[in-house]
Amino acid sequence: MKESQSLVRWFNATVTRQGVASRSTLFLLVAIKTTRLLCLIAGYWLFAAMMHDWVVLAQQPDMSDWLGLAASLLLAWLLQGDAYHRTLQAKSDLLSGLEKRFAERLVAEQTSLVSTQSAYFWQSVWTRHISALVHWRYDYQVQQYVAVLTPFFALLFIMVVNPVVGGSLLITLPLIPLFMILVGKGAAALQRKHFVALTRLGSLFVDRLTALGLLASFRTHQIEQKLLKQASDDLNERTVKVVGVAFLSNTVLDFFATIAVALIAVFIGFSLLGEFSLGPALTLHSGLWLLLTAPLLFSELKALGQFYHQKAEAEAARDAAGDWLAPLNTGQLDEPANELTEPQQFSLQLADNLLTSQLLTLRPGDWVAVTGPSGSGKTLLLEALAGQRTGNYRLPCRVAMLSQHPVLLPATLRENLNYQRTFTTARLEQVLSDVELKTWLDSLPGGLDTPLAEVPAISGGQAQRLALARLLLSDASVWLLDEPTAHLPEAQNHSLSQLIHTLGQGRTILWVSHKTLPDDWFNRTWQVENRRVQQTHGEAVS
Amino acid sequence: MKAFFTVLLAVLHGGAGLAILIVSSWFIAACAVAPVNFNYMLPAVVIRALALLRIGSGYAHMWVGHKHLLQLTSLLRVQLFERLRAAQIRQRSEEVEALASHTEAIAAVWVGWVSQQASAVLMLLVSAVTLLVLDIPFAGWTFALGVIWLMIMAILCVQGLTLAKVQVLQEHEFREQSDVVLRSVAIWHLKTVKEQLAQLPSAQTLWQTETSQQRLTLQSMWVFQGLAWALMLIIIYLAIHTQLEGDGGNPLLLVVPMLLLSAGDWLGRSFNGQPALNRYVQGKQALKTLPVEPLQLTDAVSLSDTLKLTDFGSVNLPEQKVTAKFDACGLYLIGGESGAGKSQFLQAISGLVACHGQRLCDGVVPDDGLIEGWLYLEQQPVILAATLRHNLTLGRDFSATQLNHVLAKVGLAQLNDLAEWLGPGGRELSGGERKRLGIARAMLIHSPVWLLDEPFEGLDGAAVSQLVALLQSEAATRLIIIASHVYPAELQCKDTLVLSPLS
Repeated sequence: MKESQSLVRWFNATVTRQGVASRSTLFLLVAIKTTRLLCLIAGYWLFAAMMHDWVVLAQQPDMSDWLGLAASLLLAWLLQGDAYHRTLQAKSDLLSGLEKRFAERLVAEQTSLVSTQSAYFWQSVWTRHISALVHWRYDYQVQQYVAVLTPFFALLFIMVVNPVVGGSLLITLPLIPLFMILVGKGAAALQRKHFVALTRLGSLFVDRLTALGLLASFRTHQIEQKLLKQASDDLNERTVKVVGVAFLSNTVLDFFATIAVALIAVFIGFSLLGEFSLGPALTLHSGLWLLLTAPLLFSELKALGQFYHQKAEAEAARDAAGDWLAPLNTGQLDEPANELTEPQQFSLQLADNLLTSQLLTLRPGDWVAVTGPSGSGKTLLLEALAGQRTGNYRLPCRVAMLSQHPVLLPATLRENLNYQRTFTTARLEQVLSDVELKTWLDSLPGGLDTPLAEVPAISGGQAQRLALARLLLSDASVWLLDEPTAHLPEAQNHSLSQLIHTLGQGRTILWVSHKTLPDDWFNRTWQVENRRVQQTHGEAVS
Repeated sequence: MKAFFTVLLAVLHGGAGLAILIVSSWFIAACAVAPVNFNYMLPAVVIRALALLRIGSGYAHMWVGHKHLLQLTSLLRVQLFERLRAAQIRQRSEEVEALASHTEAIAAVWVGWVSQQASAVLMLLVSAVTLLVLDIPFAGWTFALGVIWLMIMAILCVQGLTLAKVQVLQEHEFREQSDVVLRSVAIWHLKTVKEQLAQLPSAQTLWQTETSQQRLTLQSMWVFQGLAWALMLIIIYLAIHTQLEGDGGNPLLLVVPMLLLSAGDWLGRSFNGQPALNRYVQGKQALKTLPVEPLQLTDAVSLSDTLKLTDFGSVNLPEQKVTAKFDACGLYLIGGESGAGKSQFLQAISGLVACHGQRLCDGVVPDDGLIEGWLYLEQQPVILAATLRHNLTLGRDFSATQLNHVLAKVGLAQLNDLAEWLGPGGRELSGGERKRLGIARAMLIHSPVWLLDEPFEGLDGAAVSQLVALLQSEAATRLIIIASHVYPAELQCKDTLVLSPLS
């Protein structure tokens, strides 16, 4: 119960508040579904009346009753259709809203977010998590309200018609949640008891499938197969123990629903025969109506049970992706200016003290060497300056970043270079000759239009030069270089660094490197140590 | 047998529920009319018996059904695993992971779909026949209901499965498209914010198909509900407007209208099974089209003198033609930058991938395939979700002393609890620890050839020196070939071979 509270609270705080999922849609759906059930109850009343005429009085049913029944069933049916339609519509809207939020978050945080998880993980946010939240919102949550409101109204009417039946239902009704909670607690305890075994055994199959090469190399496939068989037998035995109890929850509901109908039928029958005389006198009219209406006390609760898995899935979605569905701060996605025009002075502080700095100065045209041991936060510094991290400062202009892993798209060379916008062939050729790839370009069968996938294994140095060409094509006057030569052999490292030095003249450069670069290239050195940035060389802070 | 039992229990559960409602309403009507000599005790007992039957069969259905599901799942998984002996799956790891849910989906069709449909069909059939035999008024109308159900169900199945196929294709497309975009995240910032948002993948088409699936199910239920009620209204209308002599006052008149009024409740669930059927078909398809690549296993070969390679390379790299000679014992280094095909070359030597050219052991050409004892040690060795002991022995018999000895030798003495669980949910090993564990495994089976892929990647200076020392001493008794783009200064190898980028 506490868990569900927090899921609702989380949803209201992060999703609803900023207007993606309005509560009025939720309540409208609840209202429609509840009204439908009221129509049904009215219809049952008329149906029972006609049956009374027909069977007990042996006369033809009233045409006015028939019209009433037809009208109430038609209304119930139309409301049902309307509810379906609105539910699907509301789901589509919420899907779009959440997708937009998620996309904005990805664009705001870029590498600093996307590289923390596999592509598969992000794809599951789209394919699984977002829709899990949506289903939970518009199936489970709606049904939760309906499952409370319907028994309330049904019981109210039953009370009016026959307080004896109503009273006894009122007494038994609270027993259902009580038993369900007891069963739930028992199942949870069993689940906890077997938790470690269940998770370990449950993952074995996939684990061994991903190790087929290892098993073949060591010739142990058969041993593992035997083990897998034993493990799944063990897993099944334990699972059956847990679900055997969990199923009781369903059975409790089934028990009360079935027994109630059976006992009401017997009670009504015997009252009609005159065996009992408790409460107001019963007729076939009121008796049949009671028999039809009583199941409504349980049916919506049962329907809720069918959506039960949605809650667990929504919780998993919140845990996996919840942080990224919150709205962005205003201005986080504004287009930055192209040029760095003013000298910058800042002391950086990232959220959660991920990285701090002394007061730092950066003038347009500065060359800054960023040094420090691995893991000290150099990449973090670059990401913060590029505005990908939540912090108190970002460079007020467009930047171009180059990392150690050049990105090659599975497209032609031209499309790779035209990533940001379309350039003329002359410009592209010019840039390729700037990065010393002209000879390579001339050797390509299709020139600029050669698909990169068909180029026989492009070398690391060439790929990094292509990435550099993209930088040259961008409007950014600030370059953030994150160990662009780290993965290259010594000779390549030297020539590429030299090339960057030549091409980067006139720009503002921050260069993270493990390999030593000539001191006279830089007019500042920033040292990063233990998540703290300090200037160790260069013109003092004014 | 269990499958049959599952279905039977589902039928009992559904049937008992329906019977309670019908018998109860008839019973009330009969009591209201109360003919002479009406034996009211028997129906009252029947109603209570039906109630118990429903509750009991409901629980039993879930229990037996899930037990069967679990057993069938594990049977399917073991069969699949057996099929993969000496084979590899050429598929991305997440698609391999999906096999777990595919096998489950195949097994779940019994509880998820067959049970519902079987109980719907049987309930319809049994009630229609019973009513006819008992000569209950309007009995023929239940056949109309049955025909309506069958038609809607058939449309639902056909359209649902068509949509499911579309969905699989769309999901595949979405993954391909989003893969490219997500992997290029490092250059997104070169575009304007607006363009970045525009280039991001969107799951809208995927969701639209999913919504269509749901709409189809809901519409089926809705149309069925409407038609069932319409049938009921027609019956009563007929009762009002035609003279049905002698029928008034018969409690059995109630039966068919009641059946139709509540048809949505007792048949509605059968429409909800569609997703289970879709998943079943998708699962079957995935298992059928699984890209399994057989691996040829070759017995151990003698290697006491030299391993000679002539114009040798991986089949995946036709241009790779390496000629080289390795002594049976000693340490060799394969250099070259990334993209030069070092990993492929090592895997081709071990036989993990097929090769072209010739490999000659002591002057003899061994059979193609993965030679027993020749180990390709990956950059990140696979750690099984298992105990430390099992991770070392891989199920073979070794004494604790032997294991601790090897652990100490590779510098993993800190792992002293052989029963400790490794991998997810247990102790997570660092990159360096994993590499050493991989070597420990190889030492235990006295493997004569080690092919190490980038063993120094991601290790700090001290760890590199330690590893070099270990490899140096192990190379006294075996052939060790290392592929690496970093060359530790302290590494002394018999020969270095630099692979140039392929062009």
